[in-house]
Amino acid sequence: MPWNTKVKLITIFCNIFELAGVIIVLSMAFAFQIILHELPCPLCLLQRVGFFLIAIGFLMNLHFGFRLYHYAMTILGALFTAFVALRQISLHVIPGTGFYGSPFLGYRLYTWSFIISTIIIFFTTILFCINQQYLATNKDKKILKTYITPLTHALFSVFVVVLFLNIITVFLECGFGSCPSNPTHYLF
Amino acid sequence: MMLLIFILVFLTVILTWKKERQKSLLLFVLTFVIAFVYFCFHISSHLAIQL
Repeated sequence: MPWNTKVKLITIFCNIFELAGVIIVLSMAFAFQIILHELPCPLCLLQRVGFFLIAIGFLMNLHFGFRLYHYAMTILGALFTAFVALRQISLHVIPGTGFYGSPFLGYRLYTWSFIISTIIIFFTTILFCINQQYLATNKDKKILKTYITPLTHALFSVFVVVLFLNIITVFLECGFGSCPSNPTHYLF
Repeated sequence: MMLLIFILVFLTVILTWKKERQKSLLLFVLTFVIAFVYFCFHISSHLAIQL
């Protein structure tokens, strides 16, 4: 196998890995909401939006081919998530100001959100520097069509299901108006 | 407002799936701007309460 194709396969694997990671994070946040009955605050929901924006960049890479602006979209989404998470950390960093939600492996979910989005920024910045991924040969296109397209559609399906479930819970929690800053029950 | 942001994200994903590159890019930018403005308003309202 030529070196360019090998590099391209590695970058495809990295994109799928990062996308799967983001989908797992979103699914876990949703599971926390359903199983532990912890309603997300507006900042928590904005972090979810940020993770969805991150995933759209990777989905575009897998669906349309590798472009620099797809990576830029991912980094923008990750920066947004990091800003919002940092804002929420700063709200609770002073002793006595309390916490929001249950801890997971010793940290609150917003702290994990900041850590994960920072890792995504770091990893994506390294990933988009690999030049070979932007050169598409006929052989590469064949590999993409045979192996990657079905996988991309499967990831799209899972992603759309997670997103749709989130839309339903946002509607149940906030309705058409603004979300309460400290929600305790669903509106509907 | 939050529902609108989530619906915009959903539309962006659907348009990406349907290979409408330009429209999905535009919707992505629109979603990002609206989410960022919402975040800024959220911060400013909190700061106003604290000050």
